[in-house]
Amino acid sequence: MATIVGSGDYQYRIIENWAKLPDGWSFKEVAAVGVDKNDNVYVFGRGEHPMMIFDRAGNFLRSWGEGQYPRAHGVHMGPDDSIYLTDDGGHFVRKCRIEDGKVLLELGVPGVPAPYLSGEPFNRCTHTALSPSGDIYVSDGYGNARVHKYSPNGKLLFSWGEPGSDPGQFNLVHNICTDADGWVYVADRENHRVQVFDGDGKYETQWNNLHRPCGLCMPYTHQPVCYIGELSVNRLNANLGPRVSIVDNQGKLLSRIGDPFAGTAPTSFIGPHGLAVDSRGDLYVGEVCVTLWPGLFPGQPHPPGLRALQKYERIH
Amino acid sequence: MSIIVGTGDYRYRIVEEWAKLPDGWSFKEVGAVGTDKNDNVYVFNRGDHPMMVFDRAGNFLRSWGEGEYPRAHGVHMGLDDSIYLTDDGGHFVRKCRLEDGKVLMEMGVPGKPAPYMSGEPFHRCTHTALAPNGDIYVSDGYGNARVHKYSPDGKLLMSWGEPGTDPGQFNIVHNISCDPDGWVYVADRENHRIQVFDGNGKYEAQWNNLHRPCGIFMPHTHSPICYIGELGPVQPVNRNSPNLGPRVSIVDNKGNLLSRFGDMHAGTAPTAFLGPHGLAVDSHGDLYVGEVSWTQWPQFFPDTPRPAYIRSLQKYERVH
Repeated sequence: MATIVGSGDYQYRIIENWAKLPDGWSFKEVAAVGVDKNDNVYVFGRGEHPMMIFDRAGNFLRSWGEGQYPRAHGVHMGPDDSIYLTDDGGHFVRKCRIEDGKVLLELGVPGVPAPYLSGEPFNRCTHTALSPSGDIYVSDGYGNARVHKYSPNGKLLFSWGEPGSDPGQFNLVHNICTDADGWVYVADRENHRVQVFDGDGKYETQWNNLHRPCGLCMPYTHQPVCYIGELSVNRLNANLGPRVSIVDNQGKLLSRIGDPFAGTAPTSFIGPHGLAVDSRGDLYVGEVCVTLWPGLFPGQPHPPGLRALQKYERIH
Repeated sequence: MSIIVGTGDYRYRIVEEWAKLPDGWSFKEVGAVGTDKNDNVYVFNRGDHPMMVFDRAGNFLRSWGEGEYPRAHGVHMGLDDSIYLTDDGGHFVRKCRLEDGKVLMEMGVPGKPAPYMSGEPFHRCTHTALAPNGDIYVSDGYGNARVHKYSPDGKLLMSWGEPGTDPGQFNIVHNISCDPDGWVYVADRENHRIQVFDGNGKYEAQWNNLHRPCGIFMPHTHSPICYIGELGPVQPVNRNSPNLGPRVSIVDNKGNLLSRFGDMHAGTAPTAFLGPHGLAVDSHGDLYVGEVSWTQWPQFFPDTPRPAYIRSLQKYERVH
């Protein structure tokens, strides 16, 4: 009996136990996910094999990056068979070849953070996005309140943002997306909003009615919808996440997935942190379930095999 | 050397040590403040003397309510020499006579909360406001996600709200205000916004760009400005971030910022705040800010014992 979630035009069939990991392997938890032009799925996790790649049926294809990524955080797919990986524990961004993880470009100095809230790159950077011309935006992050813009070859062009709650200020810059018109969408997580900027960092608008928006995914089109993973705080109050919301380009809610409370049921979430959508509209949600478990279930050890990734097959 | 805070039309001279308490008395911390038509100041606090009344020079006038208020939370001044007190620990609202605290009306059953998130009044109710016709709004609160509307004589007319983040949903309904045109303003604290409703609970607008708006005060005029006490960041991921409060913001009737004060971080300096929770403005435009400092201290400074005395009330004299 298939479980259907979501509403309206965005309904999904849950595919349980989709990823077929090699025996004894584990994601531990999944920070981010990406899909390439063949709909292969790149799972950036915090286990011993930080990058595992699967076909769309969930068959394991290969892994890479072992020992090279202290704390997986963000994935963005490049148009040129590349993948941009953001590691907040290592304070760096790498552009890698999708085939084997060969590092093509590196931003930041691995293991060496900029001073806390200095505004200089990076202190626990979180995610990347590409402008239509190939410039690279980096959200930064836990220890800064900044967005940095780099040229395609890694030269820092400029940065914007500072701590606070006004437009253009940030309270944990956690994810970033762009669209085909060059608008920049920033998940300003602890301000409970997504801010929209032009490519020069000029504030345009904000989307509200969200709860700790954490992971963003937008199809690279004009006025795209946005898939948003939202975090909760605890399990006391219903209807505050963790959940996935799909909003239109004005931030208006189109569909929402998740139970009223955090949990381990297929229909619920623990910490939806990284989202990706493939060419068929199927959705992958990676979760930082191990990190968030103690806050949601204080005093209870987490069950073995806590789900960190699930596939949601779009119903057309 | 006086200290001036705020900006633009809303600048204030800090009046330190304004309240002259009787020897050995303490507020412990202040849930809310109100001023009457004579600019006397009513300090609803969590010490042994839950209501202490002062003149505008800070001279102690009287106290009442001893033993009757488990946890002071909200104050709203009535137009008829009455004061509405909301006690979240006791789950009740009382309309009292200003002079001596005589209870004129009581809503809720003291000590008996409604079931958690049942939507029934009350579970840790937080504040009250009066409609132009005297109907009473109660924000409720920590253990509900509701606004209740009562007739002036205490009959429940309607309720609205549920948990969530959509318009009309709440994530800790912490304070409430109503203007002479009947608009209802609700501090939806953990959604980081103030929602505006009509008198029947129909959602109209929201104000954003706030951080945990906690205490609100509005002068009783058309399209009033709003004084907002905002709590600071206390999560491990943002506790050290500057510029998120605790602070006081003054916004216009569209939610645009007019003035803001408070240091970059929580603190005990005269210019800083710990937990600005209850605000009141008198006829001179002077502002009183009550703080739940005792409760907030360990959230900002988990490794530092509370000092013997922490400020929980300060006066800000408007500079005209």
